[in-house]
Amino acid sequence: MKNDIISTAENDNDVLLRVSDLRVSFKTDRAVLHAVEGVSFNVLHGETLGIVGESGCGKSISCMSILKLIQGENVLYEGGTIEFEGVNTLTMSDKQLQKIRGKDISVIFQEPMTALNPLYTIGDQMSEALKLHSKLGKKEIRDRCIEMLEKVRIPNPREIMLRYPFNLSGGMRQRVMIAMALLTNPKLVIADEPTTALDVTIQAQVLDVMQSLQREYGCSYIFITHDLGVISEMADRVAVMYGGHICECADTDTLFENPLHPYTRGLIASRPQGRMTQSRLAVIPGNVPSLANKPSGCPFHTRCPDARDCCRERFPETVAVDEGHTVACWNYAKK
Amino acid sequence: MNKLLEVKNLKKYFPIKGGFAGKTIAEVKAVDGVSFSIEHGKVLGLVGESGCGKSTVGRVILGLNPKTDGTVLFDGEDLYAVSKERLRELRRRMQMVFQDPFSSLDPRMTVFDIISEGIKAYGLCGSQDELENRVEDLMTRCGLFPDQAYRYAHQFSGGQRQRICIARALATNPDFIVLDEAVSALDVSIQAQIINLLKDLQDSIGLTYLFISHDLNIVQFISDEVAVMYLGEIVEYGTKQQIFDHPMHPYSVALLSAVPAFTKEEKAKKQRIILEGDLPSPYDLPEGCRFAGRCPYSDETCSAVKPEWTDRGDGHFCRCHKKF
Repeated sequence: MKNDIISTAENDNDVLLRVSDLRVSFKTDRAVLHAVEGVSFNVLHGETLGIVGESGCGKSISCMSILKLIQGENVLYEGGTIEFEGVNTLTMSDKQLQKIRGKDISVIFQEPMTALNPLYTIGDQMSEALKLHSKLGKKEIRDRCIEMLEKVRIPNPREIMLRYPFNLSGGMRQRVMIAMALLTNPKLVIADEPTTALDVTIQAQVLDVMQSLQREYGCSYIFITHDLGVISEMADRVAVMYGGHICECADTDTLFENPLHPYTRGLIASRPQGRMTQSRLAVIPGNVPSLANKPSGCPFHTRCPDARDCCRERFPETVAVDEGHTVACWNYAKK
Repeated sequence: MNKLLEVKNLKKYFPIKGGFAGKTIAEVKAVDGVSFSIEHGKVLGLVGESGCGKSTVGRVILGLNPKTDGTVLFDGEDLYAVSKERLRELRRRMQMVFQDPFSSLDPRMTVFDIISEGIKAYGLCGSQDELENRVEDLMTRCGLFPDQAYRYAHQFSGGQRQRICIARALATNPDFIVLDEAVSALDVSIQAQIINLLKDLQDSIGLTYLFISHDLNIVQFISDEVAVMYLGEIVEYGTKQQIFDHPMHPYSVALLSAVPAFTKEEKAKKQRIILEGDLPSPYDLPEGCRFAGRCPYSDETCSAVKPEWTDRGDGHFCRCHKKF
């Protein structure tokens, strides 16, 4: 059986990153919390994969696992593989990983206030990646940093290089983060809620910069967010996560026009949109379950309008309903 | 016309201390001449980016920060001129729900204590039985389970905590509630629940809201009228239809275009205007129009002369030299 139905339509050569059946858990004093339970997805060369979900659904953990950024005694990688250009990053040594981190795969973090080191100038922090991963000389590194800052439309890049993060506004800091992430010409950029802390007009600037850089460098993005609007503007394909599982995955237009999973439908319906005539919003009842008491079977069954007995017992298999459109729900499972 | 709240030329300057002996060396003009009114039972949406002074407006109206200048009339009475006793009575009728449900509830108080505090302070319930019934009623109304009244705030999820905050605000039978980014910290599926709750309460008790938010989709859904703020000033004011269908100020236009489109048709229709630069800092304000530095249409007049606050017809106000 093919375990990665998601990729059946695509040629293997197009796949840059293939995550299959990833399982990540956290050990606590009381129990083992299953944060990610069998997540599979692919990222193709030059595309943007959006991952949406609410807090605690495992979206950040799945993506940070790609570089094994979450480590510690209580973190258990319980299974699955993450193949980046055909090599499994989960079994790599730290030394091997360091060759990839910041070079082939880089990360843009959510909080531009905390992700930059307050004790170093912007120039120092930016050149670090190039010092590690390239053989360029001091002056070349400097020129490259300035060029990159210009590309993310930072005014007076020469002067900004000497400034500290606290001298910059939130939007500027996030653009510095983007410049830093793309400095080494990576193949994959993981952007974890890159615009959540920003105002809408600044968000529009940052998204625009990210799109134009992607056109120029042809890198792939994994774009993690909880904002459906941002996803629909940025992503080519979208994976929707709930309770540690991917419940639906499709290309962006299909997902928004023809959502199948009850959770995706609920999410789209509960968002106020433009001129609405009804006086109430559609609502997904209940709360997002915490990791410690995750429901059995399909984790959404406690809030799902079409929940049946089988939903409470087992998690449904992921089935392809259309080319490139997969869903994990008993409503669509093969009888 | 029956105005519940009227704000005239409200100003709030925060001093910046420094230099020798902590002298005031500059002022941050957080709110600089804001005027608006809200009728009984209506919702005014106040939108703008962070640092534009929208939260300060809400706080100054309730007296959480004293005003620098201007008047605030609540039901015809000047809040900054009435006696202390009268102010206490008026403040019973106005409440606030804050943004962060994690830091706005006392971790050492039970839900019962939190909700009953205001009732006790105003002596609204005679007996303990009456008080318990009242709290139970408030909790049910806000979608909480009354048997959880003796739990502490940390035992609840974010959405439930925001329900507790709303129940607390309702406890003193207010007429007017300031909702300062009341749903921003919540997950998408929970946001919709809270917005429905706010709408239901408005319908059933006839509440008036000042809804402060940066989320334009939600403001469009919940508001009757909308004011757009930029750097301490209201740049455009009108009904929801006027603002969202025919925005006049270039800032409102850019703000609306920056909201990510959702469906294919919307994406095709939309032209995104990307503003250059960031908000200027509020203690070093530009001379003329405050938006001139980022405005795609600005010319010399804009940066030299401050535009007038003019009615462009049917109560649609705009502060701009140009007409689009």
